[in-house]
Amino acid sequence: MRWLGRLFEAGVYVTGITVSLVVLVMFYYVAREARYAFGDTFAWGFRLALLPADSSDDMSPGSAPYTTLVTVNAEGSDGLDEHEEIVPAPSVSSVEGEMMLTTAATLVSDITDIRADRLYRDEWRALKTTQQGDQFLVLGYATPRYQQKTMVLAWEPDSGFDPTLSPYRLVLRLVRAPHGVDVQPFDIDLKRQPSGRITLPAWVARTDAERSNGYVFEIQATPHRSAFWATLRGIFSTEWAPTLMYPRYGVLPLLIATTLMSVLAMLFATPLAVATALYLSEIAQPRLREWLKPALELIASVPSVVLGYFGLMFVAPSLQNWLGQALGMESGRNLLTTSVMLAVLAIPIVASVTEDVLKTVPESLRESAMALGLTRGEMLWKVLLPAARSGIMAAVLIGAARVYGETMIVWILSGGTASMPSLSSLQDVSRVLVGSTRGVPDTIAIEMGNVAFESVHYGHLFLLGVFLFAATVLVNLTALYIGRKQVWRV
Amino acid sequence: MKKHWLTVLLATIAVASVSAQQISVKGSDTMLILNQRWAEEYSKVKPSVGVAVTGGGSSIGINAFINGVTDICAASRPMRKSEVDRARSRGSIANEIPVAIDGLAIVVNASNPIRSLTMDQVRRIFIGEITNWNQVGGPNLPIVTFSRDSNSGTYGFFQQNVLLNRNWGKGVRFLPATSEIAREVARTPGGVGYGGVAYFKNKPSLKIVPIAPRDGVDPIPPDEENVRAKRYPIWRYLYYYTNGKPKGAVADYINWVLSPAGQRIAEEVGYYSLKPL
Repeated sequence: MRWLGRLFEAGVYVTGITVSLVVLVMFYYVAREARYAFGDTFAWGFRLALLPADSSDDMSPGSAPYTTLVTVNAEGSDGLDEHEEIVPAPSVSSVEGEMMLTTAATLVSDITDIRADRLYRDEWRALKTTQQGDQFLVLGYATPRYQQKTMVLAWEPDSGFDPTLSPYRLVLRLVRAPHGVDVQPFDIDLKRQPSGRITLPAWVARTDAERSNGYVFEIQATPHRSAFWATLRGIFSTEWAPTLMYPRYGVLPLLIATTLMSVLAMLFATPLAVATALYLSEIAQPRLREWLKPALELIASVPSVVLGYFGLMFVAPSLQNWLGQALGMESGRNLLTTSVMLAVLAIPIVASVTEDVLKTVPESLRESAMALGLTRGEMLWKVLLPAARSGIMAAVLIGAARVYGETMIVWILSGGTASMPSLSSLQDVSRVLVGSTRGVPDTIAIEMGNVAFESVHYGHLFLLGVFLFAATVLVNLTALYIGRKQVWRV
Repeated sequence: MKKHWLTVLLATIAVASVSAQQISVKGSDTMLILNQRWAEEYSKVKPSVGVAVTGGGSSIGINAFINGVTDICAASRPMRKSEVDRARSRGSIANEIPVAIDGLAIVVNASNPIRSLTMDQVRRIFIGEITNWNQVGGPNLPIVTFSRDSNSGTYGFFQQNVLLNRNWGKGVRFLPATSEIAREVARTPGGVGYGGVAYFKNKPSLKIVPIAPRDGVDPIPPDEENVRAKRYPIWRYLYYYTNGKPKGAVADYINWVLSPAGQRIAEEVGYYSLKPL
């Protein structure tokens, strides 16, 4: 029968190595998909408009009737309808009788290509890369009814776009002044001066064909900072808003929220779980324990989606009834409720492991304590808990790792708002506590379903997975390290 | 014996896949349930034709259409000109067929005395500029906003067409389903949410708010008549795209979808039929 033993040994070897490798390969694949986060195109957009010289200072290009949006998007997004259509530039004849100043856009590779019949407004909400070498030219002209001597070129970033975060050098310049108009050429760094206005001599297009002879402005984006560093900087920023026209992929609010709710959950869970374990291990009658321990382990196996809906139907409304007024709780879906339910998830796990740890404390320690005349309470508090200290810490960390990666409870209960928690004052703390929040795992679950394959957003979701994986592995390794330490000596 | 079974199974699958005609429908997640229900019902009408439905989002469906890998593209937005051009350059002519109408209702708690809102007010509520009901003529009560999470096509539609691409307000709560929005608004006195009308109709704890398209215009409730007449401002068509005029099995399927039987299913799922049934 010796060969059977050898075979078993070989089997253990092979299985062990295979499983370890599979885990590593899994991590490798998750990490590899994260490479799509490092795209090389970054969305940007500016609005340009010509305004009458006598317009007030608070009239912005966005509110002007004829404004041109120059925008470059990495991915066209879903559901753009009316706002998406290409609008031809207004022709002189169509606005006869109306006093009007207008800008019109055209996309050409050469300035001599500008044609009056191919002028548009809002042309470029489409897939374009900045490296293509196209010029984004904007024509400016007034219609015959315009009487004033000057007009004002105003510009501003498109709403939601923050030029300071862009890795491009963004420049607005005058490429060509109309024939016979004397004007100083300008060259404006749009990152230093994201919005502003410049007064120019008025120029009027008398006919449609003449429109192409007007002012030609250019907005140019040239790669400036390396795409890799720009992406990295974006990742460690404080806003997560991937569905915007100008998406933000800051993971800090998500990571902080997940950490916050896990820590809070473990603060709730640890005392309860340790007390439960002490009761089971030291105080409960053996008959009762025979029932209670399996029951506890059974609760640990309740699917978390069930816990989540229990929290939604029962815990959220009750918390709102008890504490809603006192804490200014707007809705039961908040950080506090989530943490409470995560604690419910963690308690059976921590209690069960702690109970096992307490079993390993040698009987001799208990007997010595009794022999010294300690009460049971003193024995538990002064002998048993210190002796099992490292094991209990490990149990708590195992629970924490489980809670950190929990998806369903957080998805159902957190409220889903990704925002950077501010903890500067006591009032802020309570607002964060009862505020809507969003963690890392639920973000992956929510957004993976609606993300374009191998897009930048897709890459960032995998990157979140890498962070989550790293964090849970770290917590687990710490648990392992602490758990090995033996506190007592016999 | 086991092997025998396997052979039989494989043979059945082979026979089934040869004899059954397959129509592929790909695209919008908003339309996923609608497409699946249509596919199920159609398999009862015509068992010999299988309709394979996949989601992924309108953009993904349109890309599949451009690349010629799907028979029908389901989209909750019209194709852009650039996409039509790209499809044409690859030999596909986009033929647009509206198959249903979708109207999104704005819903508040039944205890809220607010009578109506304008589109601009709705926008400012959801981007966080208006935070108390007394700013829109209601009681002094903080506004608690609920939205679908970004998993949903409705979210994108609302963000682009109602919020005009602005970011959501800081306090907006994102929930996993429209039924959850109904539940939360029902138990939050200051709550407001949006979603398909069907989710909010005939619920005593909820109130659908009529919306004025512009300031100074009469508010319009999102009932069947107003949505179909496009008087109500938050509506959209749901589209099918085919390559040229549909032929054969695809034409039969689309004709059935547009027939009263198919349109009735659209109403059951919570959308509006193109014409009154």
